[in-house]
Amino acid sequence: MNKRLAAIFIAMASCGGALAQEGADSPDSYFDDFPVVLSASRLVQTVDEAPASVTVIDRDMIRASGVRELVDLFRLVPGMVVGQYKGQQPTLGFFGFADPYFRQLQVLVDGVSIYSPVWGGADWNQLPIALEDIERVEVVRGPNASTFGANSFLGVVNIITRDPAVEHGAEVAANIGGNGIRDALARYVVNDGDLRYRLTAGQRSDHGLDSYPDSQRSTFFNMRGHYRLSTTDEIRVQGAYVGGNQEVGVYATPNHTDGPRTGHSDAGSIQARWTRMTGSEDELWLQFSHEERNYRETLPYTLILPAPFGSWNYPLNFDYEYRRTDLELQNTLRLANTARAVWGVQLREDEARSQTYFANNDWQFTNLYRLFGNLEWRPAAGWIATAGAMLEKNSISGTSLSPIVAINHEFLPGQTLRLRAANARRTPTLYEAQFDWRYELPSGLKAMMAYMPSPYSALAALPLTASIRTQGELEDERVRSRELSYLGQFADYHLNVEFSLFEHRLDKLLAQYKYSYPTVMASIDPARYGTVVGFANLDSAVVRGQSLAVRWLPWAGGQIYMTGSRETIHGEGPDAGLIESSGPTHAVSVLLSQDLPENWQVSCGYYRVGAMHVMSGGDSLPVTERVDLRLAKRFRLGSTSAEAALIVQNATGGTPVFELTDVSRRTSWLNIRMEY
Amino acid sequence: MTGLLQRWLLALLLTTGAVGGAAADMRVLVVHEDSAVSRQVAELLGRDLGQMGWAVGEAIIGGERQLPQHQEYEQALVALGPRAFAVALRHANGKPVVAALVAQSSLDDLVPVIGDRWSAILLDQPTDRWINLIQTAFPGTQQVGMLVGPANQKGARLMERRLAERRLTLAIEPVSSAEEVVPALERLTPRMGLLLALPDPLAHNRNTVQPLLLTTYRAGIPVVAYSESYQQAGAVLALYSTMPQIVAQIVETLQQFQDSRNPPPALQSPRYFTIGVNTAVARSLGLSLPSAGELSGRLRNLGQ
Repeated sequence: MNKRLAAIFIAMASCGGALAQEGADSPDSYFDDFPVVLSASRLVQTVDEAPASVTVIDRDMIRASGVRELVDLFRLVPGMVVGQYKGQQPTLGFFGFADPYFRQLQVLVDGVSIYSPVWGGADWNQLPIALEDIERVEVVRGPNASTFGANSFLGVVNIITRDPAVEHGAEVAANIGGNGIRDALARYVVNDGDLRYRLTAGQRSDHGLDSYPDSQRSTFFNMRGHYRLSTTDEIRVQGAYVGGNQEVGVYATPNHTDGPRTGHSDAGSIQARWTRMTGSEDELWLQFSHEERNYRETLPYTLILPAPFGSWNYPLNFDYEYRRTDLELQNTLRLANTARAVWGVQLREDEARSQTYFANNDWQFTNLYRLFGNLEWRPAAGWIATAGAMLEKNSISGTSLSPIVAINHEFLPGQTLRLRAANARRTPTLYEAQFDWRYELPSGLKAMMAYMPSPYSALAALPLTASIRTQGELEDERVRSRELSYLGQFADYHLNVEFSLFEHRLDKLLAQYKYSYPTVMASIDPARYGTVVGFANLDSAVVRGQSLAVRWLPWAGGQIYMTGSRETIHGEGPDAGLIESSGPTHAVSVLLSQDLPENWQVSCGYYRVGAMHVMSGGDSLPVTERVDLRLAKRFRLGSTSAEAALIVQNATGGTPVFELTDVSRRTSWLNIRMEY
Repeated sequence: MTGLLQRWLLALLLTTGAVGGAAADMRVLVVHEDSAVSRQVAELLGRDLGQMGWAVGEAIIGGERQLPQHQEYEQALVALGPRAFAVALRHANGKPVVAALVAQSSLDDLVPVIGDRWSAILLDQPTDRWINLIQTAFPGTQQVGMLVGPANQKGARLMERRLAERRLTLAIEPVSSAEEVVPALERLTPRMGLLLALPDPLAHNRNTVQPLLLTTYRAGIPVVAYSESYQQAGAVLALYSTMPQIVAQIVETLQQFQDSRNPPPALQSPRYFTIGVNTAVARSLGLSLPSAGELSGRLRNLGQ
């Protein structure tokens, strides 16, 4: 070797040791062990390969829609209708069955169910997360109990929050506008080696509808933290709190039993998940979660009785609380080149108590045990067969099996047909199955009656009045669903189309009925107070329809998302008429957004819903149209990235949302956001 | 390439080498650094050379960068890692030196010395092999993105030139800390159809791989990376040489030094390579990719 050159090389390579530590020339760079990031629970199944119809609402759509409440996003889901009942309590319907207490929908946040064991459905105005925390919302249209269990009856909403790994720094945001809108939000994300976490704190308040005393104000906090134990193991811990006050009741004459009062709620939850990821399709996780919810509401009331009973100070109490503890194990694995599987077990205990609703203050316990498995098989190119089942046992309605089979066939590149059949069940809630909603006599009145002559003395043993009390055992509601879908991807045109024909056969639906029940008030006024409400499996229905969803990126910076649905509902049973009008014959939604020069963005949402009738007391509503507008501008303030947006909801005027007099009127607000 | 195939290939190479006239009493000193990667390669090499009947000595260099005291019986040296390479050259005294586990960037400033008795097997896959892979797997992609730390700017410029010759554009975003990875990716997203991840200690490490893969996945952008581990983490495609493949090339190079009529070149690109496809991520991104075997075959047909 040329000695001089060799000496130079040796000197450089020798001092290259330091360079090797920090430079790209370290051999270790090529053999670093990286943690598995895109594992089964993070991977999204493409729409054409999924065994069910799924609407995915991503962050861009959330932002473009300008919504302030998460439920308003569901207007973009074919078959789903959204209304409003007393302030921020929405009415929801999916394939009909619109109701302020819509119970046929499973709701999960990061894989944990927030379906209320007491009332069913989710407490939408008490979500402890901000829209800014959400990565995407997946809505499964139709039953999917084989994966998510009972109550995944007509659909599943899966809210997936952002991984702190994809965020950085701090963010503050505020909404200020009409109708008392005053929202504030602060988020902070840390990525520090093996540890990453997000903290979010926020507050929401508004005045609700004009027709009710329904202002509300809530404060929430949530955190999501990950700690990487090794390249394959990770611990995730999440915690959340939401609490606040909301006005409830109606504007009424003094001493009305539904007079204005304030409800106070507090809810906290924690979940911890250990995940072992040995590959993108090999994942095992064990999750523990616990949630507690406490609601307090008292209405000052004077009980005015005919002589000789007199008047009594008798505050009406609506307090309740519940706890949920859940343990779940799930394993995703590849069985062969053409087959993969996911299976899991779950144990859950729910406890609830309420002196008013259960006629004593003891905890009511319900248990749930689940075993499920799903197998995906690709027998040949372009063919996917999926089969799965959930075996479930609960202490309310016993044991059930919910199966699913689906076949997807890509008959031409980007052109897929899917045939699907699924069965699912809905377990009766505590409200339907175990409520014994009654009011006892004031103790003074009870003592007075006991000393009075017959027949008054016999009344002392009766409750003052009763409201809800189911007799006998209830069975699960059942649905058998069949669906044929076409999914077209036209990549050259940036166009995706999904069209579905579906039929949902619902059976053993719970219906209210009235029966005589002896109470003091029934003795005094039998016509008004002589009966209580119970539930029984009396109704059935068949929903048939079509849905269409189109997503098109026609030009740079432009996005069009359009959905349409048509359905007919045939009901049988005492509520047949109500069921048949509980969904619109048609619904259309269109979301347009366009990026403009100078970092401007404009978007417009148009939502048209056919005539329908919301159950649980709503009026027959005419065809409603709603237009939402958003105009936003991104800019920089020094090193800070900022955005200002003006949002106008119901831009063309108010629409009735429950009763004809309940009008959701035009509301505008300014949204300011700054990222540091 | 499957592990079984690799083993068969390696066995075939070793057999060919042994039959090809390697002296049974060839003595080799393996000089390596005290790192897990170097130790594993040294162990594989010692085992394979031992099976060929060669005598193998081992010298581990520490911070002093001197060859430890040993009986100098060796006829050739193998150096694993850039520091080991420097030490081995210093002590070679005209004996052949085969270096491996060295990256181009550690040798970039050296004027090539032709005809001397050393040969370095680079870690870097040749630029054209990367481009062939991209064009074979993603024929419709025109725009490639790269995150580039200060140490890799020269390599990125070379990649940019070669891509331009093949009618592809390279969008580059500089990063100088882990915190800059996500903002840099957000700036790159509208300008790239795929992200090419080449070794860079600032852009690609245990802490950046998480945000990088999640951010690109959310944007629907596939990542083509340089290691099997990266592929398992979530990169759609990976191109790399496994340790047995590197060892096979070291053995072949030693044999070339034995045959004075056919001396090896000073700098060698990896001769054997593996392509890995993360089918789960590809499927989730809606990509229809050829299998790893098909891609390997097509690249070999293209002369890589």
